[in-house]
Amino acid sequence: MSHRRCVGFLASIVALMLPLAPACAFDDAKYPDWKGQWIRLPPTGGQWDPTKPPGRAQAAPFTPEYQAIYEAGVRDNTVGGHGNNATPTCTPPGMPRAMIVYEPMEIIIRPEITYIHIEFMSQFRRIYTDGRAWPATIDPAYAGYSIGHWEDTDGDGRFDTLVVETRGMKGPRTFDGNMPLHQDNETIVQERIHLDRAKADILRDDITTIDHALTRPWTVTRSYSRERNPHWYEYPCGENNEHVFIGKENYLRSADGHLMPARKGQAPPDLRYFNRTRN
Amino acid sequence: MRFRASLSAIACMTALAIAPAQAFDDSKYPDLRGVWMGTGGNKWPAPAPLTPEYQAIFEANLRDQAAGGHGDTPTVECLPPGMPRQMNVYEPMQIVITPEMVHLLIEHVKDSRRIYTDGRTWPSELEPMFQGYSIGQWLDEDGDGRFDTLAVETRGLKGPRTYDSTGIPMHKNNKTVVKERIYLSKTNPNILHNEITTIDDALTRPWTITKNYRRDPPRSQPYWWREAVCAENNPHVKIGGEVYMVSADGHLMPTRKDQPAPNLKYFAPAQQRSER
Repeated sequence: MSHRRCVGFLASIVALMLPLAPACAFDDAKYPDWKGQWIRLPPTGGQWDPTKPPGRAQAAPFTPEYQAIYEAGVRDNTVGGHGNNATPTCTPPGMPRAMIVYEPMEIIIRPEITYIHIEFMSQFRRIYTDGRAWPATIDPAYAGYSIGHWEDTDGDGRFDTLVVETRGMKGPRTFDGNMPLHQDNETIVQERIHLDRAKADILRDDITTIDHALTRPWTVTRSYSRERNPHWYEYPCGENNEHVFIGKENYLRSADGHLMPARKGQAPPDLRYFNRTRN
Repeated sequence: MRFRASLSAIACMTALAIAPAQAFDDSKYPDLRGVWMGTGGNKWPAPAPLTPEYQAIFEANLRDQAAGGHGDTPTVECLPPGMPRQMNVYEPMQIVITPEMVHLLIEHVKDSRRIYTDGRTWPSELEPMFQGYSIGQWLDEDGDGRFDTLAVETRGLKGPRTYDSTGIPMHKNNKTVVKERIYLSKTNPNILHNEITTIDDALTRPWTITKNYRRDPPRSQPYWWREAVCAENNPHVKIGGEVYMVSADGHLMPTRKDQPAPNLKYFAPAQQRSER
């Protein structure tokens, strides 16, 4: 009888608790805690491999053709041009450059998708973890399309590493402010995203880029530090963007709003479509 | 033995029920998963209850548009539409609910929003943003033990903003407050309503309208969200306060009859002469 009472009591507790644990509850304890705001490390500098100085010291394993395109971009930079960099037009950097994380990043983990929201140009990555396969055709995107899966690498019963592959990219894209990716846009980016084992507020992204501009896959590790009480702000690229592109020429917008040359001796835009008697 | 097995099963169920302190019980929230499309067009319903001053600005915008201009719609420069206009939902919207925040993910220009539902209060200062800052609260209006309505207030906005592409203006002081009630239709769970009340000094009274969104039916194939990049192939450029177009052959062209060409005072005179 006392046993029956005990069972009945426990059953009552369970009955009370069951509504709190519905079948569709998302058990986020299975996933790592990546909440908060992630800021790139180091917080300044825009080179792709953060362990090396920017420029030629990056030692990108370019093919001769793309090494020449890179060098041409460097020369253009020296005379006031943007080299191979497309972002002054406010087109997003795309993958893998997005993971430089110029402005803070938020990661939202759900069972079927992990969202990576980077404020810089409002880049948004959806990493599908619902077991889907690659479609036969992909509408290209700067961010590409990402399929991922979770791994429990230390066997503690909890996922710790998000393994991602990204394909279906659009160009032009560069690794950083100048180093080009191949114009065929057949880039594949593979990532392993995980917390640092010793520091819970440091996130690592081991990024391997496979691209026809390279002689071999190129792996770098980007790192991010966590701000647990973030202040979020927006980064609308179009606001106060001083770069003006007309045809293939890049100009600047002066503080008083007028067009000005971006490099010495640059010709003004062709005004053939304006009523010349008024100009 | 059987008793021990029963106890063990009950203990297991109890453990499951209590288990992870941080487990997110999404059955407490409405099912807003899927792909939400704006319905009913992207215009705010006329007439807007504008003050005489802002009615005059609106009419000037209409005249400018009739002449080929853009009538003070900042989105032509790829500036975000901001609140409340972004709730036109120009591109498909995804809603992600977490206990502390609701994310409205809209690709378009920069239309995604964070709605804080963690119980925070308004800070003493807000850095203005086109989307503003949104604090929300989940309500169980029908008392069934489950949240059904998200009540949101948005402040801390930045301009310029308009309600829609016709150029209905918002006050330049940007003291707009937007209140929303977002809930599923009681008769059709694939329709989402958003009652939007805008309080703005350009208006003679709070202006309430309802935007509706339709959930795309489930597909046999997984949905791949697509990217929208405003700056890509945007033909509009703003120079010296004037919006021009870049023609298909890459040259600057006017957007309206007799629009003056841009002032080229920063170019060397010899170059200007040779250009002409």
